[in-house]
Amino acid sequence: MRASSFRYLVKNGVHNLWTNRMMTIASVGTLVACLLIVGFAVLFSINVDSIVEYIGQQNEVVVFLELGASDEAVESVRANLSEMEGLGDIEYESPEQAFADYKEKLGEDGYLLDGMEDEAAEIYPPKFTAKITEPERVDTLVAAVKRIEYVDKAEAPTDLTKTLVSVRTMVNTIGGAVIAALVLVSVVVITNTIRASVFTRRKEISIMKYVGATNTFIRIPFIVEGILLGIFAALIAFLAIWGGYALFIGAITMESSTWLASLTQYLVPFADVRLQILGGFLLAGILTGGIGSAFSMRGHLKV
Amino acid sequence: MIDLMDVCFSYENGTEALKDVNLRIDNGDFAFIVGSSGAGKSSIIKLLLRETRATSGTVIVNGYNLNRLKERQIPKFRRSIGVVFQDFRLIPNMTVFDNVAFSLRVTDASNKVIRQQVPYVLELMELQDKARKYPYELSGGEQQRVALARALVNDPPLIIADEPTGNIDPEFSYEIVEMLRAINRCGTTIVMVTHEHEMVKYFGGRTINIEDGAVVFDDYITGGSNESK
Repeated sequence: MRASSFRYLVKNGVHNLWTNRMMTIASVGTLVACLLIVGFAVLFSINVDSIVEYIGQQNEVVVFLELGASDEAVESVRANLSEMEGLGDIEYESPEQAFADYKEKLGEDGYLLDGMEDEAAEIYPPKFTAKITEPERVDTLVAAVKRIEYVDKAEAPTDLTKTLVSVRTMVNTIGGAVIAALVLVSVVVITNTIRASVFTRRKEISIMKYVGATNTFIRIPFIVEGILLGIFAALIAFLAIWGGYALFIGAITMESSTWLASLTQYLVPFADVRLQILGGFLLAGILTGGIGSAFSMRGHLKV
Repeated sequence: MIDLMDVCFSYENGTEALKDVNLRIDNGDFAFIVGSSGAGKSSIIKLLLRETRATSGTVIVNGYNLNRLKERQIPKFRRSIGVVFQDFRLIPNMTVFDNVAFSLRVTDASNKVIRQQVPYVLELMELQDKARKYPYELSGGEQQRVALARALVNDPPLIIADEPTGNIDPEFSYEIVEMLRAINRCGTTIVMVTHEHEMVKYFGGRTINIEDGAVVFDDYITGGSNESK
């Protein structure tokens, strides 16, 4: 196909948006509504997940080594821990440090411990504290830590962690199911809107066929139209969701006296997900618009 | 050139529309196909445009064997014929110019060719002042001339006109047929379906009468009978 023919078809698609403007408004409106609903559902799910994850990450596993473990043993345990997946920052507390901390805690009575510094290693075991980044695996992690050579004891608050993990799993499953259902409903609604638009122009399509137009030739303007519809809808929905989210966070922050305000620090800032949301909207808009148009035409091309 | 050999055609509900039709229209001919409604005229048009396939027999149009034509070859075949319909079938949201140009667009013609050909054909049809108008701004006769211009612009060897005067005031009907005859004199084969016997008698020429799905008359008649005017 000539470049001039292609330009003509693209121009035709743009022109059709305007000549069929009632249908354009209907399709863009439907698409915006669907994108907004799905977008807010995704944002809600991301935020609950982020809060739960944040709380979960406050968990630590505390690892005690055998009393009097050598420096080599400490290094070997450190190496083992840092290689382990599911653990985050690792902090080490030497027996000397523990002894000094305790002495400081005694305050004025600290002198009682004077002269015992050399025996610190016989009183305190070397200790590691590691953040848990995958709270759902806390049981296996603790068990694995316990199996490391020179490790005497490993402790983690498994009950709290398990509750958090189950809350998170629930939010993800229900959120995922709700979003999937919404996406399905949206696709059906959008396809029907586009189909109605194509149906009102079936006569035009059949005339084109009589004049000897190929299916591709007829399809391109419709697909261009669908893609442009998708882009418009994505941009409108993006601006709307941006504004809506800002209003929501603003409203919560205003309530500074309540517990709600403390939540804001765990909320995902819009800037963090801006590009993903815009990208997702554009992709969804272009795909539903373009593919929707292409598929809605199939029946009308057989003339 | 059109060649129908032992053509039978039945609709899916079993109605037998054409029975053993044999018909040959040579290059450069002008043929009227007449018959009462339901006689099988539209079935013939449907076969000639490859809207449907014959149930049996052979249909050859412009060298294409339509029974063997593949779906993707249909567009190319249709570009080799110009079609004019009773209801004009212009694209409503395109101007007169764009409607005529569309016929060239589908053949992947360059902008240069379009800028040359379309004004030329519009002038032939005396439509040069209407190029920027939309179909709904035109009278029936003018719309049919646009349709004729669209059929002509590709310079096809064959033009099929299906009741082209059916939706037009009688005084313009004769004008449309005159135009078709002028086109025919330049070598284009014309097949015109009509139920207006008076008009056929007036113009004369090859007349094919179809009744009840069969050709009952196929001969040249002398024109000049002017009683309807």
